[in-house]
Amino acid sequence: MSSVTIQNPGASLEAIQHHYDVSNEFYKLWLDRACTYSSALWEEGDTLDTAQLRKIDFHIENSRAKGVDRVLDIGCGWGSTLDRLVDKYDVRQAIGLSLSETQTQWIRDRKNPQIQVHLESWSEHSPTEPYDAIISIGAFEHFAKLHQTSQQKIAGYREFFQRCHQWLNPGSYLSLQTIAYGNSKPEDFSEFMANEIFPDTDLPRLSEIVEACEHLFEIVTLRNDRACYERTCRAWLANLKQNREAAVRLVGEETVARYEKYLQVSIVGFYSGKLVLLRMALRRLDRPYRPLKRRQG
Amino acid sequence: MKTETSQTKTAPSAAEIQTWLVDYLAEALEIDAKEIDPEVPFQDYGLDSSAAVTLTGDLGEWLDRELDPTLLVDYITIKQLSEYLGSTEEMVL
Ligand SMILES: C[S@@+](CC[C@H](N)C(=O)[O-])C[C@H]1O[C@@H](n2cnc3c(N)ncnc32)[C@H](O)[C@@H]1O
Repeated sequence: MSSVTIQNPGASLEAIQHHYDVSNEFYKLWLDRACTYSSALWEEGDTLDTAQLRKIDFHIENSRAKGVDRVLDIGCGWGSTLDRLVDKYDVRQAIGLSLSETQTQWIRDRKNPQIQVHLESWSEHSPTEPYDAIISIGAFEHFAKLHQTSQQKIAGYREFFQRCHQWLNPGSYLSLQTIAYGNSKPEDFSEFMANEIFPDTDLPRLSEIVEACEHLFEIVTLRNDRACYERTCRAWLANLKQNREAAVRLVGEETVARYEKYLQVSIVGFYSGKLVLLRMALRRLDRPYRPLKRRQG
Repeated sequence: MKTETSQTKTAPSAAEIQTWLVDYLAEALEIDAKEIDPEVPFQDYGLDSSAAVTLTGDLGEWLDRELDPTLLVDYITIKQLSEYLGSTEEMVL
């Protein structure tokens, strides 16, 4: 069970590290306790901590990962989903991929024998055994580069879905969460986001995801929870404000101001619907489509 | 003795806010204030979401009140925004 590795079609290692390797301590000041860096799933009475756990549980259930042998988390961040898989859901082995060195080191330092983490892109991943479930939360945003045509983006995304298809056991699920363009087009987005926050990155449109997974996965559920991301960004911004002095000491005034602005622009995007938050459960098609053979008449 | 002027000063009226916004936009776009129409949507002046957030922040600083970054999504022209802010000054925190 290995695969030929291809060049990562999305944001480069350098671009990812520009964003994620700012400093663990800095992110700890404003993310939840487990350092989950993606939209939470909010219900009445939730705090950021409980809403993040609710989101992780949602994806574990969506991917039917409970009690299985091996689960892959593509873009595992600081490992909050990996931890939950082995601690609460009886998963024997949780494997994470990330392009951020500080994140992978952080997970390795916790020395959980059931958790493995690789500093590599999905496009370089070459597992020795298949997986029973795959989860990917807040990483798909990075799987295409700015200024690619829609066809190029779809080709890269399809490559991703082909890998997942190849690595999954029959009948298994992929649970995916990603930001996408909503009532907007890429050109509406400010230079600020593109240059200063997520260099080298372009978001998907729902139609591109649908086209890219066609005949490989069937979409079982799809939700747009953009209000959840707006609320998450508001919670992060409030935390950052509360810990502003400590944050400035760690990374400097300019970086803090840049993150404040990025969170505010994101709040506007999700509030207005220019950005959406997609959550999808995808079931592997065990017999991918083959064209009907017409008999020669 | 604390008799700060800010405490005795009344909050700017809708008309004053409108003037501030017209001047702000004119300066940002490097055009004459006379060319700014308060009834034309911000978007038509090329204000993207990042510029809108900066404007809201600067306006909040001038008004000395906390403004939500999404304000320009619902109040899409200078006129709408200044009328809204002029009529809600009592909500100053
Ligand atoms: C926004 S974080 C989300 C982390 C985590 N899933 C969470 O919800 O907290 C995005 C993650 O995707 C990873 N990533 C980006 N591009 C990737 C790629 N091509 N292959 C694997 N991981 C990638 C980053 O290193 C980072 O860990």
